[in-house]
Amino acid sequence: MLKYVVRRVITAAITVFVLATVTFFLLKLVPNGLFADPNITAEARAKLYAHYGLDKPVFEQYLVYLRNLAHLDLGESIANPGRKITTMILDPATGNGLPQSMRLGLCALVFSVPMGIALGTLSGLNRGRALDKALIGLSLVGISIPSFVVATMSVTVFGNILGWLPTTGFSTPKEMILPTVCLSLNPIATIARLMRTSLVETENADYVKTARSKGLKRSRIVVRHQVRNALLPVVTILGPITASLLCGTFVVESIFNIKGLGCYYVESISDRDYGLVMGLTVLFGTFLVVANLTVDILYGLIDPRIRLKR
Amino acid sequence: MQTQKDGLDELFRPEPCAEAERMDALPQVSYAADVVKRFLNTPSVIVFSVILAIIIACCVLVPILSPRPITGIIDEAINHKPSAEYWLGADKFGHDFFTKMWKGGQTSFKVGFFAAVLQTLIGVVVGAISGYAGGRIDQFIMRVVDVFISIPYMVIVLVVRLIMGSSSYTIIFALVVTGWLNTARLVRGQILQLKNEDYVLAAQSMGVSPATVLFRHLIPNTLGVVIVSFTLAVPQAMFSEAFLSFIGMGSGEVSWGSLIRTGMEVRFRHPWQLIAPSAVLALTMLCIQLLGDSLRDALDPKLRK
Repeated sequence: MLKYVVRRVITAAITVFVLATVTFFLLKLVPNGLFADPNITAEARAKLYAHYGLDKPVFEQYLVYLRNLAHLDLGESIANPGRKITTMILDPATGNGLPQSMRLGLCALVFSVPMGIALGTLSGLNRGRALDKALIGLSLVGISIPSFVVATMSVTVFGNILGWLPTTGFSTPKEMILPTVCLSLNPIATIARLMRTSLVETENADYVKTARSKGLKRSRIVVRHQVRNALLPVVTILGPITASLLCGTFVVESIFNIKGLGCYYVESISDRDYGLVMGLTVLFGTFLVVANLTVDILYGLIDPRIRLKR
Repeated sequence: MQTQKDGLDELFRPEPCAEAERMDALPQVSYAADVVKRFLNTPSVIVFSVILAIIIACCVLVPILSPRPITGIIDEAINHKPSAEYWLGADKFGHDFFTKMWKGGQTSFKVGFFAAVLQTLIGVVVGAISGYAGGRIDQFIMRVVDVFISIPYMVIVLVVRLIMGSSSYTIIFALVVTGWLNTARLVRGQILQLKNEDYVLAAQSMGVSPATVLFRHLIPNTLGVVIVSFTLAVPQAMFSEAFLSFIGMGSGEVSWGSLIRTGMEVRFRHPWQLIAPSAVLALTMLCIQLLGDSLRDALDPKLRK
C-alpha cells in the first residue's frame, strides 16, 4: 500500500510539473496580443515588457517562472497593475477568490453527495415501482439540462419574478441557497444514477444471498451489506465530480456575480491577463490532480481487494 | 417383454411443455438484430427519436425556408413582439427569433457531431494501440493522457482561439484535443481485457500482422463501448459549445449558447428570447442522453433475454 501511495504521489508531482510547463509554452504560442493598444508608444511598451520580464528570451522567462512558482509567487497581474496574482487568488482581505470558490464548491459537495446517495438508494430499493421510474426520469433531466440553463432560469424565476431569494453574492445563508442548488443538480443526478445501478447489482451478489439465508433482517442486509458495497463505485466518481464542480463554478459564479476563481478565470481570459490565466490553470490542474490522487488512495483504503492486489 | 416395454413407456411419458419453454424452440437471433429489436421495443425510444428528428429537421429546414432574413439590420422589425408573422418575436437587430433559433441549432449540432466523431476516432486508435502494444509505449501514452486530462479545456480553447481566430472549427478542434482522452482510456481498458482471448492468440499464431489483429479482431469487439461513448460525447460537446458561447468565448456564430446569453440580458422585456433557446437546448440534450442510455442497455449482453 505504501509503495502504491508513493508511486502515485510521484506521478502526481510529475503531472503538475508537466502541466505547468505545457501551459507556459502554450500561452507563449499565442500571438503577441499583449499591450497591442496602438496608443501605447514603443518606449512605454518596452518599459512594460521589461516590467513584466517579457523582454528576456523565452527559455529564461521559463526558468524565472518555474523558480517563482516554487516560491508560490505567480507574478503581477497585467489587467490589475500592481496587484500580486497570489494575493488576488488568496485575497485574505476581502475573502474573494479561492476562499469564496472553496465555500461554494464545498457547499455543493456536502449537499450533493448525501443527497445523490440517498436518492439512488431509494430508487434502487424500489426497483421497477413508480417511485423508481420517477427518480430515474428526474435524474435524466438533471443530467441533461445544462447548469447554466438551470441557473439563468432559477435566477429569473426565484430571484427576479418571485423575489424570494437574492440573485447575487454568496455570504449570507439566504444568498447561498440558489448557487448551491444550481451547482448540485448535475452531481446529484450523476451520483444517484450510479448508486442505483451499483445497488441493483449487489442484489444478486453471493454475500447478499448468504446474508439472506442466514435470516438477517432486510434493513440490516441493505445497510450493512448492500449499501456499503454499492458505495465503492460512487467513491471513484468523486474525482470527476469534483472536476465538474470546478467547471460548474465558472457558470454559477459568473451568473450569480460571485467573485471566485471561476469568475476570475473567465475575466482573465477575456482581459488576456496571461499571468493570471497561467496561475489559475496551474492551480486548477493541481487541484484536479490532488483530488484524483486522494480518491485513488481513499479507494485503496476502503476496498481491501485493491490494497492486497497492489 | 413387449408388453413390459410398453408399460415402461406409459410410466415415463415426457411431461408436455409449452413451446416457448423449450430451449430449441427459441428462434436463433443474431446479436445485432437483438440489439436493434430491444432498442426499438422501448416506447420512450420511439418518442424521443421522433422529437429529436423534428428538432434536427427544423434546424436544417427552417433557416432555408423562412422568408425572414437574419442578417443585416431590419429596422421595421426591431424588438417586434411575438405575432403571427414573428412567432417568437424579433431581437434587437430585427431578426426573426424563430428562424434565428434554428440557425443557432445548426451550429450546436455541427460542433456536437463533428467533435464527437473526431474525438472518438482518435481515442479509439490511440487507445487500441496503447492497450495492444503494452509495455513502454502503453506507459508513455497513458502518462501523456494523464497530463492532458488535467489541463482545463478552457486553456486549450483560449490558445486555439487566439491562434486560429474564432470560428466553430476552432471550438471543434479544441474539444477534440481535450475530448479523445476519455475514449482512449476506455478503449485501452477494453483491449487489455480482450487481447488475452483465444481468438486473438489463434490469429497471432497464424502469423496475422499486429495491425490486422488490432483492426479486424480487437477494435470491432470494442464497438459497443465505443458507440455508447460516442452518444455521450455528442451532448457533451454540444454542452461545451453552448457553455463557451454563454460565457462569451464561443465561435462567434449564432448558437443556442450565445442566444441564451443575449436572452439573459433581455429576459424581462422579451422572456421568450431566453426561454425558447434554453428549452430547445435542454430538450435536445435530454433526447440524446436518453437515446444513448437506451442504446447502452440494448448493447448490454447481460440484459439480453
